Amino acid sequence: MIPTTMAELKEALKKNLSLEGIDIDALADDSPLFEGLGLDSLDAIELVIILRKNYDIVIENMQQGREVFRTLGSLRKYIEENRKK
Amino acid sequence: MSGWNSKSAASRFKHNIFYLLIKCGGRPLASCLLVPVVAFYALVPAWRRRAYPYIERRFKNTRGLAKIYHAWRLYFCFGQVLIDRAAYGITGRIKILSSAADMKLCRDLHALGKGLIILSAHCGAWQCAMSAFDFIEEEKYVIYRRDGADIDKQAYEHGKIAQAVKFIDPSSAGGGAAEIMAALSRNAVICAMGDRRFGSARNLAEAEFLGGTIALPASLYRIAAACGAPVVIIFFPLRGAGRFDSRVAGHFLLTTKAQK
Repeated sequence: MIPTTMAELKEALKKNLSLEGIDIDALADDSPLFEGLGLDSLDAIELVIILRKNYDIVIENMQQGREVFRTLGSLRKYIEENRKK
Repeated sequence: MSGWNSKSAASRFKHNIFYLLIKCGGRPLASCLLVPVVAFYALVPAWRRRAYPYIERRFKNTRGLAKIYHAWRLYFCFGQVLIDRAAYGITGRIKILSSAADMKLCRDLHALGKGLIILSAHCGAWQCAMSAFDFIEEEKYVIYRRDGADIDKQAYEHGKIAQAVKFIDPSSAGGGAAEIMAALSRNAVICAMGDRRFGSARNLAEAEFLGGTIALPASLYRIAAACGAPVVIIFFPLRGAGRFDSRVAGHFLLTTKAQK
């Protein structure tokens, strides 16, 4: 298990997603990811790509993805438990 | 894609008549019935008008009988492809004419170990090709939206051949991106139509085509770049009853700089 901080995750999201007008630093760990950041299906693709590129994590399907992408906290926890780099 | 759906115009019963004719007399007998059926769709204005967006761009200044002829020809060719697909499913026989160079190219690209994305378009014998494409021995997926109301059968559903491909629904959450990337990570082959749009309008790039501007889906290129998967463009022109080419029109590897 490689420790993953919320700050590190937020930085990766800021860098890769279009978050105009959203202060991601102000969002709590239990904030819903899609509603909180106003993301759409294209952002879902970006999230899958971020996990693949940054952490070598493969999301097998969006049923799994829905659980992983539920909140910022669930995403951070999943990355911490499954990242390979 | 407002208003579009993949539901067949004809009923299940009418499809079954074609399947029965193929079983009894093969493609020639089914093609005999195809002639009046296509004539009906080409002559009834409401059905013929569905072909106009293509005909009016492809054959500019076409009027009157010529327009009906082009509609008839378009529908007849499409009908032939559907008969070929059904005949392949029923008899297990089809002829794909691929050049050795094209097959080698595809195998070499696949050997990179990053999966392979085959881009095609809704022209020629793509319906058959997606079922019969077999010169890479690997898991194959087709990005394909199938409505619950669809009644026409895929080739494997006729029971004679094994299901060569699995389907990934592009209208599912995330546009099937997770499933596509997972498959590419297993070095699978992904077949997709480069001309059909799904999902968010942000997932579109404009391109010039037949004198107009069309919106093409861009997310597959984003995925290809992220996964390092090579992309090969293949078209499948008809070469006669039950015969078609698979012709590589180009291939490329997107770099990470091209990702966004």
